[in-house]
Amino acid sequence: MEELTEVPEVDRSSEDARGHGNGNIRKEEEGKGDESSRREPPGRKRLFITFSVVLCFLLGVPFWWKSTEVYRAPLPFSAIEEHARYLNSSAFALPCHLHIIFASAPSHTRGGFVTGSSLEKVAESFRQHAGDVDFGVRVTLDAEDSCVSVGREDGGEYWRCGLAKSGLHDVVDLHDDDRLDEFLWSFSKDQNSSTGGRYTVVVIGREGSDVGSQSGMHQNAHVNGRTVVGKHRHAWMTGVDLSHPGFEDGIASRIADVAMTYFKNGGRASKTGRDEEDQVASMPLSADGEAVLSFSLLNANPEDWIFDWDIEEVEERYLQPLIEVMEPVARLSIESQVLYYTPKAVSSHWDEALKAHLVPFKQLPFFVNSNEWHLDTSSAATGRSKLLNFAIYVPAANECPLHMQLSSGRISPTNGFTSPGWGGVIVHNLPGCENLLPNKSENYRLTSKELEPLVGVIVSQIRALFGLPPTFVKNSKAGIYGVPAAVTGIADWEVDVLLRRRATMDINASASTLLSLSRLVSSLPNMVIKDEIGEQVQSSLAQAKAAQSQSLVGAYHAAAEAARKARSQAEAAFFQPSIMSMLYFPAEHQLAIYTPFFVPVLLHVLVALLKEGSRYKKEWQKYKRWHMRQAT
Amino acid sequence: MADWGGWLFGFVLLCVLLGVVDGESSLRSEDFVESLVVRPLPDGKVLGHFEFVNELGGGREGAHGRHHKLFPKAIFQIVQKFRIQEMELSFTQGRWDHRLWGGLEGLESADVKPGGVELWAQFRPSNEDVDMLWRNLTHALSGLFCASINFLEDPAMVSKWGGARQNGDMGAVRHGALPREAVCTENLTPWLKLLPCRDRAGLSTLLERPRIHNSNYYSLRVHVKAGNGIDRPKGSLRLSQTLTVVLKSSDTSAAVRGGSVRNENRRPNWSLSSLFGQSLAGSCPLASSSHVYLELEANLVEELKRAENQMLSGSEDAHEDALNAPAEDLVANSNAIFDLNLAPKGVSKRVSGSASGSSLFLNYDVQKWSGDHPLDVGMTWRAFLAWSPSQGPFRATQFLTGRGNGRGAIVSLVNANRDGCNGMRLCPVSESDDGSPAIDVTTFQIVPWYVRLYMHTLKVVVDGERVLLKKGVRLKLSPAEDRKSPAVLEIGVTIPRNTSMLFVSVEFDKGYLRIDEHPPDANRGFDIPSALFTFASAAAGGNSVSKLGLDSSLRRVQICSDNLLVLLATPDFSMPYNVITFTMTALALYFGSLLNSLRLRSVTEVRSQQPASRISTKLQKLLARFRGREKVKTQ
Repeated sequence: MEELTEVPEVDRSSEDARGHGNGNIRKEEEGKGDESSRREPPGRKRLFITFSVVLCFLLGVPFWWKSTEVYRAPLPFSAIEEHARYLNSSAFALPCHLHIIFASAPSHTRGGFVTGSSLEKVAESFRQHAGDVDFGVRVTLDAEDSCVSVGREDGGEYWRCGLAKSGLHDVVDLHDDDRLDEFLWSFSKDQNSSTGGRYTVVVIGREGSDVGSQSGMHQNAHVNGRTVVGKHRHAWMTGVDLSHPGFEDGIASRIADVAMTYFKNGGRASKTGRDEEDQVASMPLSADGEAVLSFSLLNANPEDWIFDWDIEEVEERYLQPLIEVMEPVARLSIESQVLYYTPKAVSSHWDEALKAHLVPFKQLPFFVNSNEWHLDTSSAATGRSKLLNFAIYVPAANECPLHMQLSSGRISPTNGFTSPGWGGVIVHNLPGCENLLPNKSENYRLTSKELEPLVGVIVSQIRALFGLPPTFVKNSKAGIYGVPAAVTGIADWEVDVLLRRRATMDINASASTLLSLSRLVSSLPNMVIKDEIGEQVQSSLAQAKAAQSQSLVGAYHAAAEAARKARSQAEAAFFQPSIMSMLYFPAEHQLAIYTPFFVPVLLHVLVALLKEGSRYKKEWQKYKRWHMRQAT
Repeated sequence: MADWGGWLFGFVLLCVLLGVVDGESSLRSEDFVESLVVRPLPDGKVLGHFEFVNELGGGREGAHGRHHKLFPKAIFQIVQKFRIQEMELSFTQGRWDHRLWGGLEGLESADVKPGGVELWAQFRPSNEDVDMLWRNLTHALSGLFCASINFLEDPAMVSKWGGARQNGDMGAVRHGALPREAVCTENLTPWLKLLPCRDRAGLSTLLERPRIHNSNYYSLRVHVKAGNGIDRPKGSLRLSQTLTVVLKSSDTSAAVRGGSVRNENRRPNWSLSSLFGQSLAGSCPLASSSHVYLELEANLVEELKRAENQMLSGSEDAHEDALNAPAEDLVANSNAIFDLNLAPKGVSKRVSGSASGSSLFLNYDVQKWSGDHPLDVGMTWRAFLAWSPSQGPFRATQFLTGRGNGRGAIVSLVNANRDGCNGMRLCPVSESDDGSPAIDVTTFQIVPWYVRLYMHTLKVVVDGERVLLKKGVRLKLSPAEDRKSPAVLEIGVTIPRNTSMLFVSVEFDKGYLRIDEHPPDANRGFDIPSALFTFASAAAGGNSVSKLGLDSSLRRVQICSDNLLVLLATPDFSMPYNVITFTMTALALYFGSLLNSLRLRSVTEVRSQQPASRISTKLQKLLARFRGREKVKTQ
């Protein structure tokens, strides 16, 4: 019964509440200008609810962010930046050391031409002439009875004394460059001190009796005598007059000239640093320091004659030594093929005076016929190996003999040209082919003897492609001659030059690759970065650091190897296949997935938030107004 | 003793020298041979079969690997790098019509190939990972031939054994096919690039792109086989490139002189220039031999003989010797049926295929011809002559049964070619049924994993009689694994020679693919690579077979069925987005109303819904009354 009586109560209370609420709502809804006030502060419950929903969303945002995040291995951005900055400020360079030895007969010392103080003077004067390039210099006077050294001491890395004692003056005819070179080479080998970057200039004093004959022999080099750069890492000067006072400056400037032009820059007159960098950039090697030398014998028209060649023998006899000596700089491999029906792409014209078909200099860039010369890339070449093509072009009967014209209008003596980064082309004319009627497909075979001149051109082309002068640069005005590296084609000190260039190039390339990788990565936040990439970047940086520290010690090969690894790791990280696919992950995709949910839901929430906020503000003002009125 | 020693020393020295000389000579033994077989087909079209063989003698591997003269560098490097023992790659367009054109068995190293790309390779035994080698091989080949062979890297498409093509167990085999791959000029150009003369000289000059690609059937093949030290010296390599094409002559001049034959029956005259658009201006100077063969099928020769005999016996003075004149003379000299515009250099007989007679090969040496005197072999028909194609004893077809997206069955049907032979003596089925030798029929098929085979439903029926699987069927099966490997099945049955029909069926369920596994045009259907049927005389009766004479010609014959097309249930590809949108809209609606109900006072709702509230108050009253009464009752 009690419950029954309660019913109207419930009814009434609810009606009460309704009435109350009615009033309130009517006030809120109707009256913008309604000045009615309220007596108690407005309830915060609705505001609370709205805010808690918004809070839920805000709390969810990090989770959502986390769940949509792609995996990115941490990259050492700052270390990369620092590495690049460091290289910008101080260029990476492998150090060079020069040892100047005055090897003189005892009579000179007794006469007092060369003394300890003059050694100091030579060293000082050399430093002045060599300029900013840091050459570690050590000057030694090596006489039969005494041995004095001045300058840097690096343990047993320099030639020890005893050159004069070993019979330099007696055993070898000083005018026989080859024998003297061999003599010095065997002397240096005995001491096991012929490592990269350490060069020796031997100054052989002039015997009094020699003076007349020698000056007679070399008129042009009368004053300075004769300087010869050997095949290995040494040069020597003969016929130097050490007797007159103040000879030190003259001799130091000449030594500096040899050291800078040859040992340091590989035979090019020393140029500004900028220029050298240009050369450096053009070394035709893959990221991991490999290149394939691909030789192609091109029979332009096998209907006239078909040429074959003894390339195996050529490889064994001429190219293998070159490859071996180049080993520290680049890993070269050789392959060859014979191609047929490969006409050149430009037309030649007959020159009556020269009795030859000529290809003008301007047309040479179009000589290579990429449609018909299928000098395929080689699938045997691993990774991103660089391919250098050497095409030996055998012209057809109607264009034989074929010659290339220099820009001066003369016929090219090598009958070939190089194209940087691509390789070289040489034309081989069948001797006497102009009088020969094209015999139907007669077979000829180029023996290694016949190929010898061609190989000479190829070797000089390889030298040119790697940034060395095609042949040794003689400077007879200054009295500088060279002993050509007949077997290997590239002298040891030239290999050093290449090694230095490659190491510098590798270090710079690794830095710039890493820098662009870090830029790329930071510009694409949606890109997945695998752990491998992080590891590769780390190891590349570590190798670059190792290269720098090794270079300070002067360990050429270790530094160059580390530089090579630094670059190949950097390239491997940059060309990681997983990057390529992720570059195309579209932002529209995400938009399409998230908008259908978030836009309608957030619309509600925001509208509610706005409404509740404004309502609460209004109500609060009403209450305040009432409160103020109460107070007054 | 000293003398003996000297002799021995001399002998050893001689051996060494010989060895060196031998090594040197074999080092340089590179040989290139080109040939073209032209065969007039019974329906008036002409088959051209180009074959370019590049042989590399055995020798030091290392030196060969780097220096190449005739042998293409690209192929050699692939063989070396991926350790290939044998490899065959084919690109085929069009369908070979077995009924009209017969078999290809007459030609050496020519099989009919299914449409699309097919690649199989056998690797030399090594400790390298075969799957990796295969993967890299497919990528290298797809780069070399400008085709999407790299899709075969997916192990779900590749069989691990090669069926009848596998030679022993010398090394791991991978076999895959891309039935959908379109074949076009891009594939022909790299193929030509492998030839020493490319398309600049020799037989390959005939391959004019538009004509080849407008042909009825066209198959491009590269077959590489390395010497295994058994039949060929180790380190040697044989690259055989073949191109098989069925062309229609463009010669529209009146074919049959005399007009006695009706127009629709006339046979177009043809010559190399009318088929290929140009005549042959000499051979490739690098080829050691270069020949064009005009093949006259055995059946054609027989018919020709018969027709000639009839004509001669019809005329007054029929000479006995003319009746028995050998076919060679008939062809070489003029006959009443056709004229050859050039006399062949020689005629050779070749026992071919499964037909009883021997086909004639008229030989033309291309090296004798030059640009001034181009070679233009041709045939001009004088009278109509019908002959049946040289067919194997059986023909094979394959089709799918069932409808809907649920299930179906693959049916292979092998029929005897009896209806094809009208002349008794050409009929492949011998009259003497008793003791006729048996034939081994083997089907080899790769079925993708999404066609789920039920092997218990495998049914083999020979002439209406079901063969028990345990007894009469040689079954080799590698079951499919989802997304990992296809099902590969090899079913071998030995059937009597006079069998008229062999029926093999197996049922399957169609699987479901994930949305990202569908190709761009999924509604076209999914191709199942064609089955390979191999017919061979049963090994047991090998000796007795040859006595019959008729069967000695039955070498191993291979027939490819057509590719099958399975329709799978394809999803609506916009579905995921629709689902996202719909569910999200529903969620948003729910969320919005929830928020509103939380935020707005319930009183407002009550007030705004006056009629509903009345009902609810009444309901409440009613409820209260109920409760009261209940309470009263309990009290």
